Amino acid sequence: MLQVRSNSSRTSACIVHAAAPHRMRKTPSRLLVFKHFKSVLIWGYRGQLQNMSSQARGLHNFISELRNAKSKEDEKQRVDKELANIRKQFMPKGGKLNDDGSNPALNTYKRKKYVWKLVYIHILGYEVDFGHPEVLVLVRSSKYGEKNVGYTALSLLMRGDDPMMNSIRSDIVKDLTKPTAAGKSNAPPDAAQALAICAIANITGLELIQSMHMEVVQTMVAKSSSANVKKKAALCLLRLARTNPKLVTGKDFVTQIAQLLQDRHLGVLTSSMSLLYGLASQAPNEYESLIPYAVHILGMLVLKKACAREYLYYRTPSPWLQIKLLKFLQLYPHALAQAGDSSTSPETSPASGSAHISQLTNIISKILTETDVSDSINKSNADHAVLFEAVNLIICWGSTSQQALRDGAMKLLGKFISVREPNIRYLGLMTMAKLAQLEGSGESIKKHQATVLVSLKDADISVRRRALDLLFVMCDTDNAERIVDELVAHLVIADAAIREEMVLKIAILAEKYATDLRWYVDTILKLISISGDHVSDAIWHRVVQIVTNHPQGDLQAYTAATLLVAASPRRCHETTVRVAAYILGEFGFLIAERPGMSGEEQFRILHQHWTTADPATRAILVSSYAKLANLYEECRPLVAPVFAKSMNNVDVEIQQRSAEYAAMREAFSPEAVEDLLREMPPFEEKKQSALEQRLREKEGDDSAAVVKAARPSAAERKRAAQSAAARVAEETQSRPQTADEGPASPMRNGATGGSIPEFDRSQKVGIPKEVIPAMRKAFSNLCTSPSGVLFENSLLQVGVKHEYVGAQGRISVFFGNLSKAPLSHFRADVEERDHLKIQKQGTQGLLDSDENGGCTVAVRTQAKMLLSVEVVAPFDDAPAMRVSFVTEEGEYHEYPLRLPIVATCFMEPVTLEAGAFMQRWRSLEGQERECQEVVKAPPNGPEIDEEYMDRIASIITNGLKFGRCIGCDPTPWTVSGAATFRTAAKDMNGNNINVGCLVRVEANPQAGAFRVTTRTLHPLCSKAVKNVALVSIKLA
Amino acid sequence: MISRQYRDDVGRAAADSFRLQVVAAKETGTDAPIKRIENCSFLYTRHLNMYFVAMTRSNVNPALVFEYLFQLVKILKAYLGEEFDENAMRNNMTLIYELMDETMDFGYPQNCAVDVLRLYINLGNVKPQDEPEPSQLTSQITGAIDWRREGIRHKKNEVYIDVLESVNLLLSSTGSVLRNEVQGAVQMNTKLTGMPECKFGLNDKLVIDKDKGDGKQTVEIDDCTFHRCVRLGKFDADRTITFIPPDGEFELMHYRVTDNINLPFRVIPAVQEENNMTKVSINVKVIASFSDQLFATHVVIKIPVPKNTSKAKIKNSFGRAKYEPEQNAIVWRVKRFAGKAECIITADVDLMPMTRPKPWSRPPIQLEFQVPMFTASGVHVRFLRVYDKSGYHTNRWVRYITKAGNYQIRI
Repeated sequence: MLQVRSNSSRTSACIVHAAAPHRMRKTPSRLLVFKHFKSVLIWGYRGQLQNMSSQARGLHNFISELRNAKSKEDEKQRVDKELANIRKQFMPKGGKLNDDGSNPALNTYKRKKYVWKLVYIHILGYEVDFGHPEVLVLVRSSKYGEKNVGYTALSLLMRGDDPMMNSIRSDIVKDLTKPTAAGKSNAPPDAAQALAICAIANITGLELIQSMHMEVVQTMVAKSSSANVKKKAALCLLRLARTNPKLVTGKDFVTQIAQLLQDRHLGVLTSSMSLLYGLASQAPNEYESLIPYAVHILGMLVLKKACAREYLYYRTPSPWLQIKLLKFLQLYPHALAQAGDSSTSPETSPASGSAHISQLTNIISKILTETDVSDSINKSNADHAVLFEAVNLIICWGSTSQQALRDGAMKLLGKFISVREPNIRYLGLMTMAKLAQLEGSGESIKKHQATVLVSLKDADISVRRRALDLLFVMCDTDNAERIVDELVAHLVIADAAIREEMVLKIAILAEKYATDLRWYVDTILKLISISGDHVSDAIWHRVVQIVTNHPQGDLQAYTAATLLVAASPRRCHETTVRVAAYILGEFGFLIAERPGMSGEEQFRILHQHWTTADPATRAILVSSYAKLANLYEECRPLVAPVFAKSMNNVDVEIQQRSAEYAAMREAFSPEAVEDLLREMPPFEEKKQSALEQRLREKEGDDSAAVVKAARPSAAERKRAAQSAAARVAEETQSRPQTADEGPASPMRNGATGGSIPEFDRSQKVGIPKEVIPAMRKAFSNLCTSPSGVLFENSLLQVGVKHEYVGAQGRISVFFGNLSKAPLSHFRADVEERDHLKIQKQGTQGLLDSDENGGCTVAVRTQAKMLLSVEVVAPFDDAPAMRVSFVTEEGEYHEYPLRLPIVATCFMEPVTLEAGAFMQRWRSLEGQERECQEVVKAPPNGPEIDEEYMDRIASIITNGLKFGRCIGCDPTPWTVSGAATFRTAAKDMNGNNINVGCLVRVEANPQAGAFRVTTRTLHPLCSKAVKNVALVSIKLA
Repeated sequence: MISRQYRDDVGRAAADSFRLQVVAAKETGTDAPIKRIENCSFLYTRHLNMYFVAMTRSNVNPALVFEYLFQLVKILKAYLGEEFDENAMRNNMTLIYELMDETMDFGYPQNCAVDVLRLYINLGNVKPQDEPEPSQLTSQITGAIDWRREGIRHKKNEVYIDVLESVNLLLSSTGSVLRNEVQGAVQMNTKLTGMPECKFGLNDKLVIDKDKGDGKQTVEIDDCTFHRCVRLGKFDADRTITFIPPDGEFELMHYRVTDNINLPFRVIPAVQEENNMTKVSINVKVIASFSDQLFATHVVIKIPVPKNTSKAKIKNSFGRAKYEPEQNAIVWRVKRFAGKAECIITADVDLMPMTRPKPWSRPPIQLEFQVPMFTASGVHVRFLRVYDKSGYHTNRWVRYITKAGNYQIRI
């Protein structure tokens, strides 16, 4: 589409194509036939193939047979047969080949015929992998006709890295450098040279390029070369430089190009400009000194109209060359600015510098003023192509160009976007969008707003897209409302292909330029109702973000009320339901007092969409219901059956949500539920919104719209500043509120008012003596049970819940305030040890290391800490935890506690046969590995009988997590067990290191004593297991 | 093109989303034949360029759905011809709707037997000669034997049994067997009066062993599938194949055998690349290992040669051999290959030097043949008994043919 549209690219594409055909080796297509045959024609040896084929009946028949083939298979069969025939022909009867591998018996005619056939088969897409000796013979021939076939086949069938390229290279170079080697045929003397250059350009391969580019350069600049050869050489070099950009560097090459640019022949100039533009776009700096030459040529063409007749295109002097020159100049956007202070640069004298710049300004203004819409399509096409490039150049210069030029360009574009011709309008709109990005052009562009809006209704969708783009770019705070309204109005009639793009752009504009966010919300709602299917999730997520992040004013209430109304009808778009569900869940309470908008009413309105909603929407609805039920007592009976039913939903997400919400009230305290269901915290302000990202994905990085979208608007900045200020104010006011409490808690503004209370840390209160025995017992208990109370006094209760899988464990610690006043500066500090990797997480502030930090635990509430531990090495103690807080009276308490994370927590039971147990038991004998201790049974406990032994056994199996080894205990008075201690540490092979542990408890009923023996591979392990076992037995 | 909704949970608009996502994507062959779009499962199969799609919102048994789709295609083939296309579908719209209604009701497959459907659905062109009574009609459709109607009469009572086998073989270049199996089918053509009960026996190892066999050669059949007229309960109980046959041609069973296969041909290849890939010398010996009273027909032996072959000098004892560039092979055809015979072919192949030398991939030698009255698996029909109330006499004709499936020998 684009190519057809843009005159400039059409014309230039044609030039490039004619001179240096790009070719893909792997997939030759029928198109190549044309391309190649076209290039044959362009060489000026028209009719070569026709002649050949009319002479060679075989070739002619073969081609027509293939064309008449009924199916692909037919064609393939015919080709295979022909290939077999050619192979037979190339193989002499006696089997004797020439030194170069060709068949001496073949005459010239046949050789040409078969090579042509091979070429034809190759361009049809079949593999041809023989016949190269014959091709080489043809290339070496002195006759033009044979050379032509030879070079054609060479450039199509061969690759630069083929082994036989070495042998032919010298022949190509000979043809390249000797212009008159073409023999006595009536072909022009430079024909062989032209053939060689074309072949070089077409054969790929780095080696060949490197060995030949010097010759090509020499041919290009040689005085003796004809214009035709120079032209070809320049384009060939351009192609080589594209393949290998390092081949040509500016330093040595500038002079040579400069020489070429002084040529009189316009064809040579055009080709050299192609080369120059190609090189300069890779490294603009190196070719900057050539600007005056370009300006000079441009001046010749535009001002003096000096142009050979054959290069006049409908009275326009060589538009192709003009375009190339203008494009080249666009590479130097700062040329004007530099020319202004060119006195600083030593290379160009100031006089000439400013001279060529002023000449350039003249030229451009001449182009601008002289071009007119003309009757002849061809004439106006050429003129407009030049004109658009000139405008592009002005845009490139930006504010360094003269105001008059920019105004002129704008005026012209304004004229163009109002003509009927869609091509011109398209280009005009596109260029104007670029021009609109320049500073200070906004005002003049606004004059054309009405015209652009008309283009939005054009029959051609690509024109509409451009118009949309331009509107997007020219939008600012003043006209935003009008443009957005126009766009929304147009959206109703816009067709599907452009809708999504429009919706996205409207959403961005509305957000960017909304002076009143309520207008923004209204606009998005309108978008959803008009074209809901095209409103992506990102757009409504953005609405939610913005509403949540702007608590100032009545935006949230307004949005909630509007959405409630929008969701009221039985039929409304899915997206509306989603936004409404979310917003009502969050901010529904703000409007609950209004008539007809009570919580119950809100639920009823949302729930009418339940049956038609898809799973994603239902999931959102479930969450909203939970929030509504939390806020309004009367909603609970309505919501409960929905949850009960959804617990069996096919969709996992809905199922999980409803199951969790339903169970929440029983599982947690009301405060915790409150906390879970309170409104969401403000979203993080991302640098780039999701919408802008979408836009970028759709349009690429450098589109005008993306650049525009990335730039924050005044309204946005103002809004950001406002909300930042509000946030700061809020934070200073209510820092402690963010701690832990639900909104309903009366303690919210309790403890502190921002200032640090007075208390003396040196006067700290420790653990009261009387609780120490109970504490020890609680600790031992916890070592073998999954949950319990670790510490309790009149102020504080510490509960622990822990579970382990292999080497990993999760420990939840709850700190409950039992006093009648909040505890402030509450902190818990867990000691880090090498053998345990601990990850901590907890109520905000709880883990602060700063003494003045910490959280506040209100009366009858809990602070919570979650630890994930991973054991790395064996150990025999428990990690310490320091809990500190300040009471209302200003007393500073600090309790050193131990967490019940002991070695046996990480045991995994192993069931061993009696024999195996004894074998291991014996193998682990030895001082280091064994640990033994005798312990008396509690003095006033029951007698040691079999029941008692059962209890011991259950301690070993359940508490210590050992596997009981039945059968190796000869008397009822012993208990044996085995387990593996899991660690996350890796050995050299990357396996986890595990330690096998064995334990044996022997009782002596008469003495009332137990002997605990542990044997493990690791001394620390033995000790640790023994300690835990002893403690537990004492408790039993 | 045509759609029929048996329940109300899927709308016609769903066809659109299928069209956009599957038909437009043109990815059949790589994608799974089941696709879920917007909570709706699409199960599809293809015939030529037409898709047969079943849509459902519920959790169905996909095997059932596909079986129905395959049956539907089969029925349409029977009605509209093997290669029915879009136009045929369009021209027979009413017929197809009628068939769809008859074969499926409220989403449950009904009678899919072509023979029976033919009785009732014939677009009103032809009225069946003996229009059954309404009472008969119901019993016919709902009865246990829906593949055969009552009251069939034939002057001569005849049964033709064809045992067709195809041998798949892949030999490595060293002569070891990489893959070897026989796929067989028993085809029947019955022309019997009334509702006869047939009992059919092969020399299946399991049956013979149970009967304390008479010392004859037995065959171990790996797996077999029966026509639905066979009483599977009886087969499971005592391995006898009993059935009331449909009238006319049908495939009674097909089976697979992998052990103790009698290979009809042995091939000894010697293919050498000489002189740095400028020549290939080929020497292939083919031995027919079946009894000398039999003979093979349509024997084709394809010996591959490199792509850049320029000339092939071939010497062969009998048959005709020729280099065929379209196949990249020397094709050797022998019309009649007697049992126990040995044939040798030698060829010198000249190669053209290549621009970019590539090693030759050495594809396998391929054989095609047909050996009548021979079964590679050794299966033969032991008996076929026909019981009918009238106790008429039945003529039975048995025929065996072994063909080459993928018969390949690597070189």
